[in-house]
Order: sequence, then C-alpha cells, then structure tokens
Amino acid sequence: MTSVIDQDQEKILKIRGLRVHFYTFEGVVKALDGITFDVFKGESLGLVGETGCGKSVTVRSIMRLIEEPGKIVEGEIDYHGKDILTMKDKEVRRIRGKKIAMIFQDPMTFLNPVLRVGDQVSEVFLLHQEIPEAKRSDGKIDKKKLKGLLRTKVTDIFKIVRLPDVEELYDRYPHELSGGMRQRVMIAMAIASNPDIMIADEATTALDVTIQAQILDLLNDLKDELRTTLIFVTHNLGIIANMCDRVIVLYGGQIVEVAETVELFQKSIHPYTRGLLKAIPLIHRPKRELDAISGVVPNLVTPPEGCRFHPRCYMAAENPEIKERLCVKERPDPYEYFPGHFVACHVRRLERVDEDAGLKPETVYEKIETQ
Amino acid sequence: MAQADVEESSVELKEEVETPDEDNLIKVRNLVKFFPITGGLLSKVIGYVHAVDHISFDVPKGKTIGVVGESGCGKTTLGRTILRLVEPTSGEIYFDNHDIPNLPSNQMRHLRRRMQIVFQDPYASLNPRMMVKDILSEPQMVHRRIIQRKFSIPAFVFLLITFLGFIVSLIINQFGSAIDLSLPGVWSFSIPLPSFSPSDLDFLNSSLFPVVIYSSFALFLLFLFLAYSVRKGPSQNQINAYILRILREVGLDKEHLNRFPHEFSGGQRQRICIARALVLNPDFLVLDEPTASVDVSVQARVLNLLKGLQKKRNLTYMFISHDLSVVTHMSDIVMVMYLGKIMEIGPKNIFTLAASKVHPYTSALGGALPVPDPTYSKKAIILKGDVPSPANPPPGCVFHTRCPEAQKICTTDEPELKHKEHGHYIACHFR
Repeated sequence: MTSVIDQDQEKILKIRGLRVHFYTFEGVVKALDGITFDVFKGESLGLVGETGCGKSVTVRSIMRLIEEPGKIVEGEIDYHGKDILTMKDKEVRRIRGKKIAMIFQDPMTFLNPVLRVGDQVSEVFLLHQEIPEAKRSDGKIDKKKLKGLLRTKVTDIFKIVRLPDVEELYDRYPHELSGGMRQRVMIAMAIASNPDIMIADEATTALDVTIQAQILDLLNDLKDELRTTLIFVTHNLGIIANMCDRVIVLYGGQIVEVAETVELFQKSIHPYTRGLLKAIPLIHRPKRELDAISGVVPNLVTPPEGCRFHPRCYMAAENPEIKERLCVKERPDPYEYFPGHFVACHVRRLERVDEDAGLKPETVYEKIETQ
Repeated sequence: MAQADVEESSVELKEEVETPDEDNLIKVRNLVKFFPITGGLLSKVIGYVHAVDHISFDVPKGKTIGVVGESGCGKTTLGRTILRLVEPTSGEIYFDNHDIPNLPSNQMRHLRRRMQIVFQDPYASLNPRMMVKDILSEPQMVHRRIIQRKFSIPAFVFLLITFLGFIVSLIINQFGSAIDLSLPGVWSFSIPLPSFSPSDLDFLNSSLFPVVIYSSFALFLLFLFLAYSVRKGPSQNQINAYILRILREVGLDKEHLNRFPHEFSGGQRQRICIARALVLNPDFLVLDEPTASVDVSVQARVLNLLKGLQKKRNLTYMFISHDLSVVTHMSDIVMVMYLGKIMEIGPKNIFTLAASKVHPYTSALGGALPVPDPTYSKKAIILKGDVPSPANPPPGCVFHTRCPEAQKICTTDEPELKHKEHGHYIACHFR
C-alpha cells in the first residue's frame, strides 16, 4: 500500500498480509486477517480500535512476541530488507529491544519486582551494547568499572526521561515508585539502546490524566530528540489526535481505514470510523446524545464472512443490494479514496467509482461533510 | 479559546446551576471519612488515610452531579459513604431530609430501596452462580416486594392428607377403645376413644367428640400455617411481569432471563447491573465509573441508556468518573476532587472555561485531557510530579505542591470553598 503523498519517505517497516491465529479450546481465533501497511521513517503512527481488534497482536507480531497458543500463519514483516518473521531467533534478539523497542501498558507486570530498577535498565546496555571502557588491558572485563559505567549511563537515561533524584532512584525497587515513575522507567529501558522504532502499547492507559499528559509530552519530545519512529497502540482517539501523524483504524482483525490524522478526524469515510468518532463524548463540543454503533464486536472464532463489520454497518443496511452481493461475501480491500487515504469498504468504493464517472472531487468532499 | 466562547459559556452557567434549596435531594455537610492505617507489633493506629475530608455539597432532584478526580482522590469513597456502605467518620448526610448517618438500621434498610449503586466492574459485581432472573428478583425479596412466604400447594395437600388420615383413622378405629401411644418399657400412654358403631348414634352425644373436633381444627390451622410458611421463590408470573419490563428498559430481553453472567459481554453485564439498581424503583443512583471497563461504542450506548432512564424516571445521579469528557457529557454539575477535598463545584463546562475563571487544578485537568479533535488547540499546563499520598496530605492547600500558581499563603492556609457566582464554588486563594 503506497501513498502518493509519502512516496519520497523511506519505509522502515513493511507489513504484508499478516495473519495471526490463536489455537484455543474454543476454536481458532482469527485475530489478524491479512493486514498490510507501511511504517515510514520518523513518523508517529497510531493503531486504534476497540478491544479484540488486533492492534496489540499486530505490534507483538512485529516484535515476534506472539506466544503459544498464538501463531503467525502467514505474512511478511520487512525491516531493512529482512523478514522478521523468518529470521533466526538470534537475529531477532539483536533487533528486539535494540532496534525496535516496546513500552507496555502495565509497568508493574513488566518490571521485575525483585530487582532494583537501575539494574533492570542496565541490562539493556549489557545485552545490546559493547562497553569498551570497561575492558582491562588484558581484554577481560573489569566488573567494578563496568558497574560504575553502567550506573552513570542509567542515571543519564533517567535524566532524559525526567525522573527525579536519579542517583537514589537507581537502587529503588519497582513497588516503591508511583505509576508515572514506573512508566518512565519503562521508557528509559526502551530508549536506552537508541531504537529505530518505539512501540507504545497502551502506554498511558493505566495512568491518570495529568500523569498521562506528562508521559505523552515526554514521548513527543523524545521522538523529536532521538528521531525515532513511534507506533502508538491505543483505544483512546484523543491520544491519536494529539500524538500521531497517521492513523490506522482496525476492526475485528482487519484494517478498515488508513489516513493522516487530521483527515481522518475531519473526513472519515469508513462507516465504522464514523460511528466510532460519533460515539465519543467531546469536552469542547457537548452533544445531547451520542450516536452508538449497534451490535457487538464479533467473536473472532467465527467471524462474519466478507467484511467483518457488515452486521453492524449502517451503510450496508442502507444498500441491501450491495450488502447481498459484496459485503457478506467478499472481504473488502483497502481502496485509495483520497490520496493517501485508504478505506476498506465496498459501499464506499462503489460510491466513489460512481462519482468518478461524473462528479468532481470537490463535490465528493462536500457530500461527505454534509453526511 | 475565543473570547466570545467564554462569554457564551458564562451565560449558560447562569441558567444551569441556579436551583432553589428545597429541591435538593442530597445534602452533605462537612463529611469526613478517614481510614485508619495500622502498623507495628500491636496493630496500633499509626495514621489515617484522608479519603474524604470535610466535604459539603448539594445535589438537586433530577440532576446529575459528576465527580471527577484522579485515582485516590476519594471519589469512590464519597459515593459509598453517602449510601452508608462505608460508615462516615463524621459529618452530616441528608437524603430527602433523612439524617443518613444516624438512622437506625431498620429504617436505613427502608431508605436503601431509594438509593442504589452501579459498581465499576460488572465482572466482579454480579454473582456468577445466579441467573439474571435471580439477580433481578433478589433485591425485591430483600425488600419484601415479592412476598417470600408463598402458599405452597404441594406442602398443603400433603399435610391435609395426613390430617384427614388421622381423622379417618379415628373414625375407622371403632373396635378399640383407645389409641395406644405407649412405648414398651419407657412410658405408657393411650388416647381413649369413644366406642363407635355406625348404628350407635350415641357417639355424637359423647362428651369427647367436641374436643376431638376442636383439636383437629386447631391442628388444621397449624398445618395451614406451616404450608403457608414454606419458603419459596417468586412465581414465574411475577418475574415475567415486572422484571421483564425492567430488563426491556435497559435493552435486554426475555431470552436473557435464564442466563448466567458469564454469557454476557461487558456492556450487557453493565446493563444487568443497571437493571438490578432500577428494580426497586430508586430516586438516587450512584454510578461509580459505570463505563470504565467497556469500549467506546458500548460506552455510548450505556451513557445514552442512563440519560434516557434519568429523563423517564426522574432519577438523580451521582456520576463518578475519571474521564472528563464522559462526566461533562453526563452531568449538570461537576465537582472536582483532589486528595479528599473539593477543589471546585461548577457547571459542566468548567473544563473548557478560561483558566482565570476556574481552579488551577480544573484547568490543568482540562488541559491534560487529549481531545479527539486535531484542530482543537488548548493551553496545556502540564502538572509536575505525582499526587501526594492521601495518608499524609500537604498542609495548607492540598494542591500547592503541584500548582503552577502557588504562593506562600497556599502552603500555610487552607482555602475555603468560596461561592463565586450562580452555584460556582472554588477553593483557591487567588480565584
């Protein structure tokens, strides 16, 4: 999927036809159903969707962290010309945590409770970086010197993530820190190896608004300072609007819409994205009633045939002929509705094809806005 | 935000918050709830968590008060204390002019019917072993809305047969002169019987006959009472008539009656919780983060449902949430809490008002919220540091450690909750 606008930008990750299944007792959960997208260097990309839409599975596949009973059935994740999915474990370990780092949702479960936080962060240096200064003349490592070097490195990183009293903090255990501080330690771990790509998997979901604002501010600054690519996984559209350049909307393991952030929020095209945007209460523009999407998220053991959104889709309901013919049978492929704006919807595609025949693009915009 | 917007919102403020005093359903005065912290060898009380610290406010009838604050600010404790699910340390709570903390427990139970709560986690607050119909009929049994002592026909028939058997055996026993009830070697006891033969109508004139009749009648009454007092659940009809109506009101249907909670999705479970709260036809509902654990599209439906129910049943809500946009959407009045204290009570648009018109904490919260609109620009004051521990709140204004405008006075003097305009209260030295 190439976009017209971003053609000159370097693609750092190319994900092609990613399909992930989980083999559970209740049946095969088809968590990801052929996902294809690119990540451009230096951008911040948002993955958004409701519970079970496959956003976390996508990023975990990128890190190759899918564990039993999950399995990557099909697909390709191209990073600098190499497919992460077919790499040897040794090669993956050289990338995971070093080139592609991840910040998880709940810092309490991902930090080791019996190790000092400073030591945990220094592990990153030990694993991924050579420290030549610590070597003695005979080539062996001076352990005392190494410890001191690691300590300064870790405290430096702590300063970058704006943690207070870094010297003292090095010897603390995770339970002694507040939620915001733990998340900062997680970020310190992620940036310690100066990664190309940082993935924040619901990094601020467990935090309070004011702490969340601190963390988001920090991530934004770090992204500019370190020039990393940021992938944001969240269900919070507010974070997407504030943090991301481009958004991918997922539903039931399929991509439904890809667009630049401003365009997505102003001219969303897919019925699901529209429903989602209408369903959130806004603080600055009060609504009398929220427009909810009818129905529930599909069970991915037996997902609906064709477009997975069709049982809840108002557009399909309004166009029963198209629904009968396409929505219930054929999976919609992403269609470039506007330059760089992809939509996976049969009704929308046909509409656009009709309009291309007669109408000018301006009227298409107008029509969408008035709807 | 443009100047025009600010003016517009202050006009709205005048209309919304003015309510006469007698219409207040809930009145809270100086409410305090401290939780003791025990420690040491003998579990001595070494301190208190200041969960709710001298709070006063009113809730008008039919309105929604939104309670906002970060985790640990005491908003959930406040909701529970008002319902007396947690006993307050001190202070007054009036619910429809009933003094809640000093009410005897039997009267409290009566009043509880009118005040209900919907908990945050619908996965934890529904008994997994009860079917929906049982969940919904239990509150009615507790409050005697469904009479539990049902007349049990099988038990009655059984007892009647035994009783008739006894009478018949008396009549048939025409050959003997007594019923022998003696146990050999233990005691000897027998009931003497009149000699009776069908042709001998002297029996009717026997002096014992009325005694037998009276005692058998008394036995019959005893059996009737026993039959009546056999415990039995509500009849199917009762469930169908009332519970089904409530269930339909929250958007579920008949087929859900015989299901267990695990068969439902998060949103549906929250609907069951709401239905359970509505069964007793309450006036006041505490909604403790009712949408914290559901997705956006489901949240929208739950919020719409709650708004619809409020309109239909003239309910008063206390909506507790950490989500500013949800609170803004649901509330008429918003109360901002920080470390157990009220920072501000105001109209629902306080988070978007100009910073000079609201408490610094309120504007910081409003600024910290990521708004799902890339074109919306706001002044972001990012607060430094974490919330201090409620076990050891800072002296003076509790917010001074993080406040961008803090002066010397804030560290020593605690600001009062001052009335500004039209029901807008702010606790700050500089507002």
